[in-house]
Amino acid sequence: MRTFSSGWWRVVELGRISRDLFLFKCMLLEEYRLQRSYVGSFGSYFFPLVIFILSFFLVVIFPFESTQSSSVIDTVHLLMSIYGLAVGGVALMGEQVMTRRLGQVNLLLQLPQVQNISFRRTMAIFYLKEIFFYQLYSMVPFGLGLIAGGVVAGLPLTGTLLVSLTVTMVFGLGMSLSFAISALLTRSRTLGMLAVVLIALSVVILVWTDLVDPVKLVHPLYFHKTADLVWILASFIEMVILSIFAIVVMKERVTSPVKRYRSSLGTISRLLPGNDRKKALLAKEWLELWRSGTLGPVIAGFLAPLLAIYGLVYLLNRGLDADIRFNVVFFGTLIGYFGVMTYSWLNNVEQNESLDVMPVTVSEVIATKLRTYFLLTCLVSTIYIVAVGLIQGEPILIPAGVLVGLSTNFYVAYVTARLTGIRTNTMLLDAVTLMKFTLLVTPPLLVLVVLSFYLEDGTLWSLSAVIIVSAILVLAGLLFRMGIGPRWDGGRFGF
Amino acid sequence: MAAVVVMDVFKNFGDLKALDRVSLKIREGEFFGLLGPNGAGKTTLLRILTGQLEQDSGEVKVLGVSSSERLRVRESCGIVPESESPPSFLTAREFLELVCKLRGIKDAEERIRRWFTFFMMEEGKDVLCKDLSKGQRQKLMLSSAFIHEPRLLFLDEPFINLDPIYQRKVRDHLDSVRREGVTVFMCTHIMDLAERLCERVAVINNGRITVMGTIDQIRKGKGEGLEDIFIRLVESG
Repeated sequence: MRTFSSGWWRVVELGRISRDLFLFKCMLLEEYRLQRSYVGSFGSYFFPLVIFILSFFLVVIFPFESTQSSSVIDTVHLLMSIYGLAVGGVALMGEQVMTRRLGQVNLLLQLPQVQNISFRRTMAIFYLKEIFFYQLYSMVPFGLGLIAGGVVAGLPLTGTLLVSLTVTMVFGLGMSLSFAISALLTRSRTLGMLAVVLIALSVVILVWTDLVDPVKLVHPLYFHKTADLVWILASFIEMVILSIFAIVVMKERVTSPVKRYRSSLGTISRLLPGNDRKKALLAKEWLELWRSGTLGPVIAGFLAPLLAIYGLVYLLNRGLDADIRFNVVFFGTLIGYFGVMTYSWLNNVEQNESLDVMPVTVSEVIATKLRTYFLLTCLVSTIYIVAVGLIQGEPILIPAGVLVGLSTNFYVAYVTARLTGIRTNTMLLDAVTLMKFTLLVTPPLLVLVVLSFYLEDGTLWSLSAVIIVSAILVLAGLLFRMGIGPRWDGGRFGF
Repeated sequence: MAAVVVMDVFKNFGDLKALDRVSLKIREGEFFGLLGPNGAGKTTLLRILTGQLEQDSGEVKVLGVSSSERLRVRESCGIVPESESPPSFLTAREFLELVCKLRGIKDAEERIRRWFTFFMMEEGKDVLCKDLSKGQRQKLMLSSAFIHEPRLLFLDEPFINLDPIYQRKVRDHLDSVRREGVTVFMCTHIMDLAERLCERVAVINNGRITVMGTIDQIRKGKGEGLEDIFIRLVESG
């Protein structure tokens, strides 16, 4: 019997199309059922509706033809590219599935272990399924929301259609880039990290030296500015090339070398504060982060969007000569938002199924995750705020920036933990949870963003208001912290 | 005193009736076997007993404590779950250290050494759990359930993935702790082991207990083996 055990070109072999289509359909069903099993039918059905409502109000509140239209459009593109980057790293997931148990969940991705289909081919189908699923589940409703909001705001249909298209493309580009990098990382961690550093450095050098207009680097966005079809074609070709590259680079046989480690749980425990149980759980968390190779990517994943936003704002301040200046306090408000991804990542390192038979509650583990999260993010975010404050020549605003950064981080982390427990990425696909999260997080952060604009005047009232709002956020965070136990202690670690 | 009391327990998963008015009582120091075909409700009942799952109705008490007080139940019991799943990125030794810390065991070193010796796992103690073989992971889960010397053991297919040598060692260990007064509740498919170890067994099918008693009571003097009785009971519905 012929098998697909070697040769990446066999991925495109004809004659297996119907089988692959069937597998694609099964994977799509699997994804849908997985989401539904986590968040229930209601949550999974209404998630697209929530996305629709959010994008609808985005256009109604910030119509693209207003003075800030360009910054709104640019920010939406940036956020969607980050979203694409966040969900595209499926090659790493594939590696995990093939090299260790992920709790009780078995995925079709594991088929190559026992059936006559190659890992590359399975990953290619899985990746296509991911694209299709995310397009259907979030990008299509996002686009429809933009169009509907545009009709209400009286914007021309062509304008909102164009933004929908370019946002979808930028999301796809983010996904394919992430897929390519994750595939490279599975081949060689060093090579993968080198690629990330090279890409980041190239972008910084090109932009810093004014060699390239930064918008030109994001081809769908450049298409939006110029309406030159070449750029949309270029974006599509880039996506295809990156995806093919990922499949070519991917290892066919996924194995991990057996390493030995000296016992470190006790040593690390002794260095940590708290009682024996807390210390042991925290030591476990750090060992898992370190040995799974997740520590570096988690810190980079927290810092990268913050740097990207800074880069974007820097360009806007420079290029548009806008009236509004984004100061260091504004950057402080963003920390909590981007921390959500980091907290979610911490929850995906290990399933903790074994703790189901131990005298440990889910809230104890959530508390451990939060301690780890704060240890990771507080130092990084404070350095970020201080650096931005110094670069922008706003040393006097640095203390307020640090205060806002720490308080929003504290508040958003506890809201996220209270709402999503140890299943953040799946719980945020639940419509009700997403709606609650948006309502709880967005208004206070918007208030702080608005207040940050008034701090420029150096008035006492604006500074007092920032301090009061920050204090309220800390108190509210403590309230959410108290709610974690009652909400999650009845839950299980395993699926 | 009864170690485990289950009264009229119902559990549904959507349309699926997983447990249908299950009642049983296990006295302290008894070795009790729960037998049943795949999907009969064995693991569901074990999960309810250990507080991993909540029943829809009915009462469950473990060592006099309601199973809804899951922490207290888990503190006093040793549990081996259906699938072996120690944390991927801890070594075998670190996993047992973690268990000892969580259970507040003082002489952890001594106990860990004892169980590594028992299962002859010295060689694999510094290997990450994800890289251990299934058999080694099962030995680790058994060690983690035995290490705090609990009064009650809940074991879901404890002999799975073990070779005959370790099946015998574990069987002998269970037999000896039972003689010391430890209660054992075991779900299994292996009729031979159930026949050798269990003082009483219950057969569960489609969420209902169809028969319960000592092996002799179930045989009713007909001289049938437990396996034949099991197949007859399951096939007759």
